[in-house]
Amino acid sequence: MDMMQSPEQDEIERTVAAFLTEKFPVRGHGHSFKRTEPEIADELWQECCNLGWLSLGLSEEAGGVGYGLAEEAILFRELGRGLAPGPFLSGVLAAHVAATAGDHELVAKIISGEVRVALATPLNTDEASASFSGDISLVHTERADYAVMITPNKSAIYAMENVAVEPVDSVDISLAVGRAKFDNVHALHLVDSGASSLYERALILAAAISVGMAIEVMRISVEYSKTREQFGKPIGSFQALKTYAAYMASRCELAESQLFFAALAVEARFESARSEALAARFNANEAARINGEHAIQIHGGYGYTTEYTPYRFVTRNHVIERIITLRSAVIDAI
Amino acid sequence: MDLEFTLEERSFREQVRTWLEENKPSEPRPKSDDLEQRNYDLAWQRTLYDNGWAGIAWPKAYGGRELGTIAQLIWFEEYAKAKAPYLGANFVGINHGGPTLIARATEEQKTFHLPKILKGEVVWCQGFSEPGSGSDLASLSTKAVVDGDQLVITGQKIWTSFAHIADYQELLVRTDPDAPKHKGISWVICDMHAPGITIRQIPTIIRGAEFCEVFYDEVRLPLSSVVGNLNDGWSVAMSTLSFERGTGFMAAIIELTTTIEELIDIARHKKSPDGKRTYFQDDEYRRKLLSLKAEIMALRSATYRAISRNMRQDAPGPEGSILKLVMSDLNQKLARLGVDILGIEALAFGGSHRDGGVSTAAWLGSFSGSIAGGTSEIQRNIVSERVLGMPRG
Repeated sequence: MDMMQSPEQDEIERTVAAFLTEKFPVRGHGHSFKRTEPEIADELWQECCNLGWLSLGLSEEAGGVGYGLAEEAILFRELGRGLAPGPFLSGVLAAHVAATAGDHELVAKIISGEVRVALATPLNTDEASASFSGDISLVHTERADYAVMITPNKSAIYAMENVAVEPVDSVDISLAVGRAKFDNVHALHLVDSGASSLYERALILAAAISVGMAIEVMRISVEYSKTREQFGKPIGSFQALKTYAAYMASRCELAESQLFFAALAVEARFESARSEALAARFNANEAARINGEHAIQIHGGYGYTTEYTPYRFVTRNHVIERIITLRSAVIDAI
Repeated sequence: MDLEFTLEERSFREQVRTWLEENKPSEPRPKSDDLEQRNYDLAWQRTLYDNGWAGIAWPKAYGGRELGTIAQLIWFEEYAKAKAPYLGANFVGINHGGPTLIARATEEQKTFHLPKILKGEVVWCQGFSEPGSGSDLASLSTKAVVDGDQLVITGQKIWTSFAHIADYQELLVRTDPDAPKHKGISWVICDMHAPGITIRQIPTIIRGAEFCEVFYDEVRLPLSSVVGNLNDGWSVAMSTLSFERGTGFMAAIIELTTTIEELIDIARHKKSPDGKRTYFQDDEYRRKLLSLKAEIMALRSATYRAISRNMRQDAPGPEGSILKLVMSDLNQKLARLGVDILGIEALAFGGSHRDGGVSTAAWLGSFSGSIAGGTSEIQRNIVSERVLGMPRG
């Protein structure tokens, strides 16, 4: 038993983090409240695909790098930490669905960046089905050729060519969000979620994004508290702020531990794997949400502006905690 | 990263499980009589020793198994599952005094004391807090004056569990009143039968009388009772406390995972007050129970991670304070939810909270968690200052 990252896993973390810091600096949006640029620039998306980010956890037979769920979780934690835009989560999940369905051609197109996939979450708690009708919320709609839907029992890929997407004025303006009404849309692939632990993978990778955000929003808040002075000393010296900070750190430690415990439990096919994955998602959501709230409070008036960055973690988490499965459904299934 | 236990570790788990199932005491721990408790606790410790289960991680030279932290984890997991007895009067010897001696005592001190602890021959207690020195432990004023080859101790300690039935005490005293407060303290092994010691038991909200205050009136101890160097007691004490906050709470954390399952089981069977459904069928209670279960699972995972971290460094780091902080919060939440679900039945005080489980006594007992072993306020200071590097106030 070893719950610490190996040197090789540290290397994945370092490489991804360095790339994100250089290419996706986290900034406030200032006066722009609408997205004016693509969610992710084409060249940048291509570069990420070329780095193998969409195929990290796919087996080598399926054309992937051959790492496990823990390494994928490390990648997504870093993507969360860096608030990366782009259809990473949907791309990785769709590649796993396609691989499970044995469609190696589609796997290759997804992981090479040739096609893009949006993330579909049904508005009701419907299961994905061979012919889906109902309202759908979509994230990463830009240039999406397909949509992937992961639900507890079934997972599906739908072609988007005949689907009209109505853009939504997203709370997180860096993401392309939309709504669509599916009317008997036929699944290109429909597989059992249990077959390749697809639902657990979706829960864990979403949790990884939240864990990364919880860690980073804590870090910027702690740094701010060391430099911001009131009453002649750094506000970080006051016990009221230390209480916030200590609990932020506790939430990160617990959520991150549960994230990796769950990832390993899924890979080892523990009987409790689903419960562990749900618990990972629950703890990660709480950590990102509450740490974000504290971050705004610690930054005071600055935290209420779009010139500083705490709101970016809060609004991104607002999206992340709603995709795939809602909070109440997660709790009920633990 | 991996979650797998080795073949050797799995077979160790199997041995522990079988042995505990066959050998755990059939009689419950006595509830009130102090001497009966002492006898029961020591007899159980002796049984553990005779069968090779005492001091799993202690050096072989002093009677331990010298097995590593993972074996310790497995032992605690199986111990909690088997509902084997609470350590009781052995707690300080096994969890504080012993480990400190292993880390800092002389060969002579170790050879004399450690086997006695493992064999269940002696009870240890802790003499750290004073009426005027709680969270500010280093301000302690019980003084010890060197007189030839003796120390002469005068002062008062408080919140000392089991002092009235103890043989030895890990005692912090001020040996240099002129030095800065952290530099004038010594860590001493105090013989609790020495003349000049008076003990008063303090009744607590869980109706126990194991809590005591201890008065020292010119108590004479040999100078050789000092562990570590004279005036270096603060660093000796810190080696105990960081142990306590590192893996010392492993057993209690694992107990939480069994108690939440016990409570969920009660909620599945007990009708909620409207009589129409069980507590578990009630959305409000189900979500409270399951979100608490998820938090407890995460605390277990963090414990696994702390063990993995400790295997890469010599001493537990300040991160252990996170476990202690969260454990006492979750324990209080769990105990509170337990009495909510017990409903009107919770008017009865119930058994001793040390029996674990769900009871009004367990709820009252849970208040101690955020006070004992360094208050939650102190833990939060440690986390924010030593883990996150925030400035001292």
